[in-house]
Amino acid sequence: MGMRLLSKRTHSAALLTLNGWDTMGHFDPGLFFWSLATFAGLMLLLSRFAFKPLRELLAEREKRMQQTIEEAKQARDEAQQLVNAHRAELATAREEARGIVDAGNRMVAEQQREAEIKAQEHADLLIDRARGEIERETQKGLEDLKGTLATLSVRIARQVIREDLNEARHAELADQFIDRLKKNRNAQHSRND
Amino acid sequence: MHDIPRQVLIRLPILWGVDLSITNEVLLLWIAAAFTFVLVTLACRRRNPIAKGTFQNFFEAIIDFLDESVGEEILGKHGRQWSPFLLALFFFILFANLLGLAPLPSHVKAMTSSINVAAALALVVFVITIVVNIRTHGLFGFLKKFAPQGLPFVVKILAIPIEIVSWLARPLSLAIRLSANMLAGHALILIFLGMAGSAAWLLKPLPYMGAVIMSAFELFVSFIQAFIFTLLAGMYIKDALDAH
Repeated sequence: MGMRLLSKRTHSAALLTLNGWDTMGHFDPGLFFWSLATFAGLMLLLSRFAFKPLRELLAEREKRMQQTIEEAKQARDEAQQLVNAHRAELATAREEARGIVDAGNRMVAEQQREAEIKAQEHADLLIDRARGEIERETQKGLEDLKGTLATLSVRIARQVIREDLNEARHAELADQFIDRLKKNRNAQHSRND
Repeated sequence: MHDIPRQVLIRLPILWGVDLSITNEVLLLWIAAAFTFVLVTLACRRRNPIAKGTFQNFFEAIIDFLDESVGEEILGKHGRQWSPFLLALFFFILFANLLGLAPLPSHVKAMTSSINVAAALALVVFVITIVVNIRTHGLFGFLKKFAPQGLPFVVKILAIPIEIVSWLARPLSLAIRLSANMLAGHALILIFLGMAGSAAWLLKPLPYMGAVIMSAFELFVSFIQAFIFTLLAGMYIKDALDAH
């Protein structure tokens, strides 16, 4: 077992020695010099061929991004302007619609009022006509009644006084009777009012 | 890799005691750098700034994350100026870390696990902070930072060496943190693999499972260590830019 462990240790150590790990700490001026020279050359080459194009590329990208941002801002501003214009138009349209509705309402009210006036006038006209008609019919009735009454009264009076009255007298009697009749009716109307 | 596999591929002269020969380690470093360069360049170069695929999205997410978490959060208005350096640092460390996960343990390793590479990168950050300090505040202003304001003279005298040590500890901690973390993770994977090689056949799956779990964890550590190094570099640069 001890031999086996020793063997393992020897194998690892041999492998390290084979790869030079045990001498890595030794100073080698040649390698030191070439390390400096290699790094200096690499830095110069990279600065010339890699980092300079990269910087330019990054600058160009930054410029493009800035440009894109500017365009996006511009587009946003334009959109905002459009929205504002749209809102203003909408407000105007609403105002106009409100005006139209108000005008309509006013017109309807006016028409209603005119219709009412016309209806009232028509109704008044009809009432006046009816009253005139009634007046005329009443007058006519009264005339008829007056004639009938005159005739009847003449007949009655002839029967009573046995005398014949002429037409003028008849008319006079009838008028007196009608006048009394009118007075009675007016007095009755006054009482009713 | 130093002992056995360190191989000189191209022999170059030794200058001031430094062997500049191209070794397989240097080659690995270049491979990490090449990966970094090719992938980052591919990810960054495109014509259409909007349309992109998953690959580009992934890299861009990392770049954005670094720009925000290190560039903007820590460096503020200086973030854009320093972001190429920080991004190069991050991606180089990341790919150098990820090399260690390549399935060729005897040929490829995480180059950041070598203290030489980590120390070189830490030294770059250290030198940059000194240069930024001097450029921003002047040499005298930079030196004044080692003597904290508002302290009694005696305490100030005592604080100066502490500040100097604290200042010097920064690159050390950067280098050791990165190197040790990467070394430890990969060493654990190799230990598991070594155990698997010598374990009884019934127990063999256990070390392999350990190695797989550690590999997944190392993937996470590779990103985290690259980020921590970059974050600390950003903080040190910010500290250099600020007046005390």
